[in-house]
Amino acid sequence: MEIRVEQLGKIYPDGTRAIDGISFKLSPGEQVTLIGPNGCGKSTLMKCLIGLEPPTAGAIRMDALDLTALRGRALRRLRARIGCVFQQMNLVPNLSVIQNVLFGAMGRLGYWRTLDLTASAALRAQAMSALERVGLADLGGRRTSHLSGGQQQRVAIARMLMQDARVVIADEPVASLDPRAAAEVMDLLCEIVEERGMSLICILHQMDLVARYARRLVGMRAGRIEFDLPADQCPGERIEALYRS
Amino acid sequence: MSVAERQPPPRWQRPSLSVWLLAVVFIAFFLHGLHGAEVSPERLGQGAVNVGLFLAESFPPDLSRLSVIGRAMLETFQMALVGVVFGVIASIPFALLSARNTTLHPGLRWLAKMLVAVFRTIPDLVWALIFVVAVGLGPLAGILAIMMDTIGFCGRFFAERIEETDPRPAQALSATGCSRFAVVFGAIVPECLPSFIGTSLYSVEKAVRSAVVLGLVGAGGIGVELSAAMNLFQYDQALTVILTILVVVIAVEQLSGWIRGRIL
Ligand SMILES: Nc1ncnc2c1ncn2[C@@H]1O[C@H](COP(=O)(O)OP(=O)(O)OP(=O)(O)O)[C@@H](O)[C@H]1O
Ligand SMILES: [Mg+2]
Repeated sequence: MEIRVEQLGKIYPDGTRAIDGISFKLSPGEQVTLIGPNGCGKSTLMKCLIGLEPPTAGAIRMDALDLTALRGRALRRLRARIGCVFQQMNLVPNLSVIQNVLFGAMGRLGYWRTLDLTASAALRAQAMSALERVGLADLGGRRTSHLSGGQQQRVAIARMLMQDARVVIADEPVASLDPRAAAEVMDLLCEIVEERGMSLICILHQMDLVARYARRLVGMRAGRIEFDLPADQCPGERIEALYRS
Repeated sequence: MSVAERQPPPRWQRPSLSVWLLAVVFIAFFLHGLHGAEVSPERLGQGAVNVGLFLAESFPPDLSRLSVIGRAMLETFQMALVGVVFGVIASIPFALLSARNTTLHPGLRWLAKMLVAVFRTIPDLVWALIFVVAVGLGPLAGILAIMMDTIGFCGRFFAERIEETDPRPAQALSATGCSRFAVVFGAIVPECLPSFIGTSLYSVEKAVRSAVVLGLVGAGGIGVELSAAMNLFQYDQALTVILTILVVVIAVEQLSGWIRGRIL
């Protein structure tokens, strides 16, 4: 799926100008890393991209579709093709791990066909293989709240696998993990994105992870894009400048 | 300015005029109420003597009608149970409509909250009187009264619990393209379920106690046995009824407390 963002603007109802004219293009299978100081509008951009927040200006095109014009069922069908991994609390803590993974297919199949109690054996098997892919096959029956933070992020990735997404949006997917778990989850995410040819938009805060995983690096500041460069051609001063007050 | 010189905040702040006014009104009502009760040492003394007489006459309890009383108690318990089950089922849509994060429309939210508030404000005894007129004497009137009471109670507490749920899991599910229905029943209701069960169990305890009283106005159950025994001065039978109520209410409270301890 090709994503084109044109002159996007977002002003929250309370008057906060979170995004102030952003344009970029993401080709199918491309990976981009988004960095910028707290409050510069990264999460808001993500929310606009999945239609959780309506933008107040500009347009978002996904292939031929204009996301800002979509409502109801059409919007949900588009969302079903975008996988999301947030920083924390992606999952329903009271439910079992396999139930959370099954919910990945809910956008496609609806509630009853993805409820663990009534889901088909084939779908449950698919959920198990997704769990296997993220290395948690033996925890399917565990209550999700009893998992560690790193395990929960893996479950969120398994749910995204279940979703059969074309684009993955990850908002600080490893921010609450220790360095080792963070590297493991990032490795897993990048591997999966690559082997399925998905596009990836990933927000990161830790510079060591940026140095290791970023290919195309987009720097944001105060709701605008400051630079958009291949990561290996991006001078350190420009990154530092983003965070200068 | 050094730390030592800095003044601590005042120990107490002068209450405002409205607080004074409220206090005066409160005290006036209190004193007038006390006066209206015509409390006097003689009356209190006589009362103590009368309670003593009642206890003396009621002891030992008359167990001859125990099976009838037991059946009436069973009916009371069943009234409470059936009323609460239907009440809880009806509470869920009311709660979903009156919680800010799950309602369909602000106007509908207002309406649902209003209805739940009305169900709650009208006392169960008044509901029972209304339903006795509507459906006649017997347990159905009691069940309906308990149902209304339960909606008033559970509808409010369920809604408060729903509003407390973490929005993030629901948002993550919306992001996968789920419908509102799927988000509500996939993310929000599972989070609230343990609390719903706890509240419902508490409702059963409450309903058993109120079902006893509902019998007094003819809405079925053991209350009618109690009022008959008292009116005929058969205090020994009345004591049997009271002891039966005591045993059942305590048993229900213990059981429900135990279940709540296991799920929460
Ligand atoms: N729902 C909202 N209502 C009003 N203002 C909001 C809302 N959400 C975010 N904002 C504001 O919009 C701005 C951008 O927020 P956003 O969450 O997008 O930042 P961010 O770049 O993701 O920051 P962080 O690195 O801390 O996650 C901030 O000033 C924030 O306070
Ligand atoms: Mg953010």
